[in-house]
Parts: sequence; structure tokens; C-alpha cells
Amino acid sequence: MFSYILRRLGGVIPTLFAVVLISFLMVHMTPGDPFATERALPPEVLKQLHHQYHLDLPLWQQFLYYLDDLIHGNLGYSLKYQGQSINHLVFPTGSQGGFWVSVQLGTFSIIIAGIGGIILDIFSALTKDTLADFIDHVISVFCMLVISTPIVVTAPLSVLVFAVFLHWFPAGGWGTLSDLVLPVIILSLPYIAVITQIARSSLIEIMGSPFIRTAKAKGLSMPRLVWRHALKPAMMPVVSLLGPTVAGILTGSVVIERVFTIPGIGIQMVQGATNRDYNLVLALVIIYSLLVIVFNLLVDIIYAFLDPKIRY
Amino acid sequence: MEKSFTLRQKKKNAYFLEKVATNSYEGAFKGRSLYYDAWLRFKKNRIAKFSLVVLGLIIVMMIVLPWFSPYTYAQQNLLEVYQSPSAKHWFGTDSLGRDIFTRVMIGGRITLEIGFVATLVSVVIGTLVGATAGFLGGNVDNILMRIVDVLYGLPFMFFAILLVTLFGRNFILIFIAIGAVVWLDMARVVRGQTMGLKNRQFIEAAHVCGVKERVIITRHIIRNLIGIIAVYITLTVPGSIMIAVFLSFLGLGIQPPMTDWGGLISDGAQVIAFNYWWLLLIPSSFLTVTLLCFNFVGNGLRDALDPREQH
Repeated sequence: MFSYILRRLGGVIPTLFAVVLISFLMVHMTPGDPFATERALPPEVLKQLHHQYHLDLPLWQQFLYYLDDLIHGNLGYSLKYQGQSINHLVFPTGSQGGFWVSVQLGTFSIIIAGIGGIILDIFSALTKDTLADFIDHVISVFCMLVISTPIVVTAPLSVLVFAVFLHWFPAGGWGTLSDLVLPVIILSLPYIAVITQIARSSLIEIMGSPFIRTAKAKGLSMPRLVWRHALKPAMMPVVSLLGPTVAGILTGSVVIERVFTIPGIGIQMVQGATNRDYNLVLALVIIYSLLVIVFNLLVDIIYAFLDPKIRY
Repeated sequence: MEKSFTLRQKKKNAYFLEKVATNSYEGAFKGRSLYYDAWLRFKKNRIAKFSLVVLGLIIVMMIVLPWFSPYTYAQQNLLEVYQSPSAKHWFGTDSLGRDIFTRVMIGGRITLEIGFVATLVSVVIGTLVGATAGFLGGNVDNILMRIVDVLYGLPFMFFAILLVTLFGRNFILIFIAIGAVVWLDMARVVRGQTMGLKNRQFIEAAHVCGVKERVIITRHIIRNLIGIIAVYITLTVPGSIMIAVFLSFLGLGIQPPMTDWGGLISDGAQVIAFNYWWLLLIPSSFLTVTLLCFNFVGNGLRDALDPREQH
């Protein structure tokens, strides 16, 4: 087990290195001077700026400088807000905003997606081929509908309905609990549906297996049966689905942050892309990739712990 | 009534029997191909058939209707801003008095174009990589699939944003960015299918006959992959459309005044607080219906081509 974790950790490092290398090269192979679009600067100032951003060195030296900075936790300097460090933008001191806001949004959404998906799939799987069959049908149609509706549609639509028409929740902002409700639900909705679909078929399969029949014959009540015996093996495919779910939720959070004006790193990414602030976007791509890679690693390790069939 | 019917039926049967007996009716012995069978099964799936019709209607609308519109997508009329839907402007007007009906149709063209072209890119790359890896196996397979695995673990949307940041908002670039995101699934599926196919007897027979490997891949393997590729095309188009819409919504897609559905939804979302519901709801409905139809058709095709695996 321990050696498995070590091996997986060893696999993470080349991936991370590839991410940094590819995105670094993409940025620095692009022709054009990042300061050229500003007001005509005096040559000595330009030279000073180039020196400050290490742009006067050969590419491989720039890359080594960049790696060195990254390892020491320094994400470099923003090009748009000159002289301001990206660390300061991403991890603002004291005030609310930046990285941790996005992480909170993502964490809540994953939790809601997991809980919602499991509850819906239990209802769906247990009512299949029974008198209450319609529940299964309703849930299936709901899943299909939700999966086909992109977050780009659901997010503004939810603002229109629940904030503008009904005034139940605020249309945006961050800080209080009621600010959280709409963004978290909208962000987790597609993944609730995906988890429901996957877990439903696996739960149906498990419910048909001999050990469940034995437990039924023993006289276990239905809730106890599902909770104690059926749910855990049925959740295995869901655990392996968590990796892509996290990547999707992080991607979706960019849209959510924009619609609900949440001051996270997604909104900074979009602003950086609009302002063509290469360094900021580069740093954020690396942060997002790091999040996804680390989470995938965690999921793999959890999976290995949970599944007794896997031995390392 | 019933009697005459059975009488007619009897006559018909007798006719067929005679034809079959004299071996002059070709239809009686004509074999049914795999794809014809699949088509018959697909036709029984009502939702899928209905979705296919709706999709066809939407595509025809996008192509034909802009020609008959009295407005163009960029034509502004500052005297008629934020008009709600009426006989003059069927879908209302936006902040610059542009006709939303025309803009939704033109935007739909762009969105569907991006969806199809990006899918085409991903099909070509994915099929080639998948078929090569699956057919050759060994080290080539290991290396290619390892690359796919590494790419799979990356949040590709962010790389697409980085690409757009670097090279500006370029039409071709958006195709490339999306195609690069969606080919991975295709490569995996095609590889799996190829590995199943390559040990079948007809491939062995081809080897024995001395057919070149390249020809075996293109003529025998890829031909037999067409079914699964068709399924993935119908499922990849909505995926690509979603990514295109995502980028345009963030203002990183098509440049104004040209627009696509993502851009229109984004415009609508910005004025949401003022109750201009049509700016948001109309493009959103078109997008959602299109995506739903693609997904239903894709699922119907999958069930039709692989009847063993019913969902």
C-alpha cells in the first residue's frame, strides 16, 4: 500500500512538470513583446522591465528561473498590474477572495453533488420495476435534462428565476450562507445527474446479487439493507468518477464566479485572459492543474483503500 | 372488412411464395446488413426519431431563415432597443436594437459549425491514434495511451483559455482548442474496439492473403469501427458545442458583432436584472433543445448498434 502511494506520487511529478513546461513554452514561444502595447516606454525603462521579468535571458534559463520561483512558492509578477505579485492577487491577505473562495465553492459543490447523487440514485434504483416506478422515470428524465443543459444556461436562468422574479436568494456576492445556495446547487447539478446515473446502474446490479438476497432472507429491513450492505460496493464506480467530476466542477466554477460575481480565481483567470495578462493566466493554469492532479491522486489512493479486490 | 383484408393478405402471400419458389423475387433472399438492422431498431426508438426530426428542422431553420429576414445580424437601430418579442421583431431586440431572431439564427450557424468542425478534427485524430495503438499494440500502444492518460488528467479547458489568451480570439484557434480537448475519448473507445476486432478471423484471413497492414487498418478495421464512431460523433458534437459556448460566454470566443449562442446568452445574462427575459431565454432554449436532441439521437444510435447493452 505504502509503496503504491509512493509510486503514484512519483507519477504526479512528471505530469506536473509537463504541465509547467507545456504552458510555459506556449506563453514564451508567442511572438510579441508583452510591454509593446503599453505607452511607448523609454528604452532604458523597457530594458529594466525586461531584466526584472528575466526576459533578456535565453529561454531555458527563463524556464529554470520560473521553476525555481515556483518551487519557492513564488508565482511571478502580473503584467497588467505592473509590479504586483501574483501571489498577492491569488492569496490576498486578510480580505475575502482569491484561491480559498474558489476552493470553498468547489468543495461545497462536490459534497452536494455526492450527497445529492447518492440520495437520488437510491430512490431511482429501489423504485425501478415496482409500483412506484414513476419515481425512477422522473429521476431518469431529470438526469438527461440536466446533463444536456450547460451551466452557461442554468446559472443565468437560476438568477432570473430565484433572484429577479422570486427574490428568494441574492443575485450575487459572497460571504453569507444565502449567497452560497444558488452557485453551489447550480455548479453541482450536472454532477448530481452523472453520479445518479452511474450509481443507479451499479446499485441495481448489486441489489440483484446473491449476498443481498441472503440478507433479505435473513429479514433485514430495507433501509438497513441498503445502508449496511448495498451502498458501499455500489459506490465504487462513483469514487472513480470523482476525478473527472472535480475537473468539471473547477471548470464550471469559472462561469459560476462570473455570473454570481464571486471573487475567486476563476474571475481573475477570465480577466487575465481578456487583458492578455500571460503571467497571471499561466500561474492560474498551473494552480488549477495542481488542484486536479492532487485530487486525482487522492481519489486513486482512496479507491485502493476501499476496494478489497485491489492489492498492491 | 376483415375478410377482404385476409383475402388480400392471402393473395399477397401466394404471390410471394410463387416468386420465391421460382427464385425470381430478389427481396425474399436479400440479406440484411448490420447497419440496416440497426436502422430498423433506431426507428423503433420514438424519442430518438423525434429528436432527429427536431435537429433536422433546427439545422434547416439556421440555414434558410436568415435569407428571408429583413434585418442583418449586425444592423443596429438605436430607436428600437430592448423591444420585447412582437410581430416586427419575433424574438425582440437587444441593447443596440439588433434583431434577436436574425442573431439567433446566425449565431446558431456558427455554434453548429464549430460543433461539427471540432468533432471532425477530433474524429480524425482520435480514430488514427486509437486504431494505430489498438492495432499495433506493444510499445506503440503503451506510449500513445500513456500520453492520452497524462492529457486526460489535465484540466484542458484552462489550456484552451491560455491558448485564447496568447493568440487572441481566432476562429480557427477555437476549433483547434476544442478539437484538442475532445479527441481523447474517441481515441480510447476506438482503441478498445480495434483490440477486439484485430483477433477476429476475417482479419487473420486478410493477413494470410497478404494484405498490407496499412490497408487492413483503413479498409477492414476502420470500416468496422464506423458504427461506434457514428455514436461518438453524435455524442461529441454536443460536447464540442458546450465548450464553444463556454468560451464565448466568458467573452473568449467569437468576436462581436459576429456572435454565437454562447455570446447571445452572455449578452442576455448581463441585463438579467432588468427583466429582459427574452435575451436570455430564447438563445438558451435553442441551445438546450439542440444539445438534448443530439444526446437522445446519440443514445438511440448506441442502443441500436449494440442491442445487448440496453440502458
